[in-house]
Amino acid sequence: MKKLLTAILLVAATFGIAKADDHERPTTVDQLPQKAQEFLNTHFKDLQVAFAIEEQKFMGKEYEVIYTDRTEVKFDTNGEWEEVECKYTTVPAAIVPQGIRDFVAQKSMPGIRKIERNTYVWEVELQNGIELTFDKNFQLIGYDD
Amino acid sequence: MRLISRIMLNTTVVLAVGLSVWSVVFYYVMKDRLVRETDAALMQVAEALMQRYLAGEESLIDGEGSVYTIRFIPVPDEYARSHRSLSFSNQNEEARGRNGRQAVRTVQMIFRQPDNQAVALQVSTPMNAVHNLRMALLWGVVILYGALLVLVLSINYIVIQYSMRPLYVLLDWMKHFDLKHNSAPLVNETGVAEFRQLNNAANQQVERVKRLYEQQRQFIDNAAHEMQTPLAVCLNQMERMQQKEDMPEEMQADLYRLQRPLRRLVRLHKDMLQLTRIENGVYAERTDVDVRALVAGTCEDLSEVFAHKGITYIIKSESPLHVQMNDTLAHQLVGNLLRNAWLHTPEGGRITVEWNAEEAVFANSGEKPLDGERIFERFYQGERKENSNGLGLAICRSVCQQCGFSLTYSFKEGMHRFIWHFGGEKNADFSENRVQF
Repeated sequence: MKKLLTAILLVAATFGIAKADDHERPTTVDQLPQKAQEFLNTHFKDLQVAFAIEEQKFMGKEYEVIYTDRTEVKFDTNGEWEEVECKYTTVPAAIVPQGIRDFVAQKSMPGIRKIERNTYVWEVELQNGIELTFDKNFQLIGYDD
Repeated sequence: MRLISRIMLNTTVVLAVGLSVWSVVFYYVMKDRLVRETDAALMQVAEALMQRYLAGEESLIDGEGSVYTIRFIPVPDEYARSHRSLSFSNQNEEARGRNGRQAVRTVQMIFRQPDNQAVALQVSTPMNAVHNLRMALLWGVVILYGALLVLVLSINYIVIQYSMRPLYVLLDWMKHFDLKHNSAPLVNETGVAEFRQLNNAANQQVERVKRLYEQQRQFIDNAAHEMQTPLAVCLNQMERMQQKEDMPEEMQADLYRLQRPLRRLVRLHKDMLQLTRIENGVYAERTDVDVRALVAGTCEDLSEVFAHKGITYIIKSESPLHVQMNDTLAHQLVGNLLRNAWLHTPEGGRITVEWNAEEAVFANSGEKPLDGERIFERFYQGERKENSNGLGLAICRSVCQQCGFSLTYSFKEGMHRFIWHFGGEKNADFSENRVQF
């Protein structure tokens, strides 16, 4: 009995791992969470969507939208943006927090072409390729050229 | 079925079923996973290609990498709307520069150019590497399954065998235990509480049985010895009284009637004492006994009583027969068997004795079979006979046991057959002194 139970558990675990990640599905902007749609409408209204994809992660989903000018926007499962990357222009100023904007302006650095955030840090990549990492209080904690 | 076999069988069944399910599921999941990994790689390539296409790298169009085959196909809006923008498919494709076709996995991404033209990007990769990997996986799973099963079962076997040793020691000891010859207490060191309990129980029981046996033996010995003298005195007195000349006729008859049971009592007592002696191993020394001469002599001695009852006796075998046993006991055995035959043969019956190297058969005519087991018990008498005290056959069997022979009874063709096997312990289990668990 115990062995059977163990076997079932093992099987379930194997299934779980296999099912859980890296499952990509095509999607459209209409199917994104409301928050994500609003974000895109606010900041990238003029661009044309080339491709949108939904990725099943271990927990929740991740969405990625690619515009025809190669701008990429990523959202987490709740529709909060995680990453915005523009290949040719700077990211919309409205999404960059004041602290980072001030920091970049003070040092008269070039514009930000990529911004990424998670629970702990903010990361921006400037147009000259330098990457800056900030903590939650927008203090610089690292950079990489 | 032995305990360990039972456990192993159960384990094997459960394990085999469980492992089979597990490995089948594992294989299919991994196979699926392989395809998915391929898809993920394709997807990555396709995404990068799309980026480069959007960036305007025209050189990419319909290129062929070393591993991937790439096609950019402008498609009508209609097509773009009716098809999923991301799809995977298995195809057979003409192998480049090779004969035959090969399986490829293709991803198709439909995306929009800046001028809103839909473009289908197809990226294909050959599946033979994946196929090889899948076969390797299959073999791996099969081999692993076998190895795991064998390993788990052998570990199981060794562990059980090792843990159960005290049990087998106990069982072995029980098997060889004999109250008279091999009554050493059980030595079985173990830290396992259950086995200790079993050992203790076995030792306690054996102690008890030994004590009881000893007490019983002593009682019989004492009773027999103490009775000898008074009985002899009684008999003597009676004979002296009979010889008195002034004894009235009536009294003489009374005395005679009293004398018969008394003589019977003396004989009974003698036989019981003899039985006890035999069982206590008094007659241990062995010599070479000539059974042929012994049977012939005994028959000769008994020929008069045989004739008195009109019984004919035939000694069928003439081959010499020698056995190793105690001389006194041999006399007792043959004598008792023949006397028993005489006692229970009806008037005008016949008695035959024959033997070969394995057994000697003492047969006498009779009417119906007797209870083959109970006739050897002390004081068992199917039909009460005047001159029988019910101990003759018990002594016979006791003698046989003492000398390592066995004695059985059968009824064939109107003859009671008592078979003396020289080979030994066919009926060892009926030995009274063996403790049966």
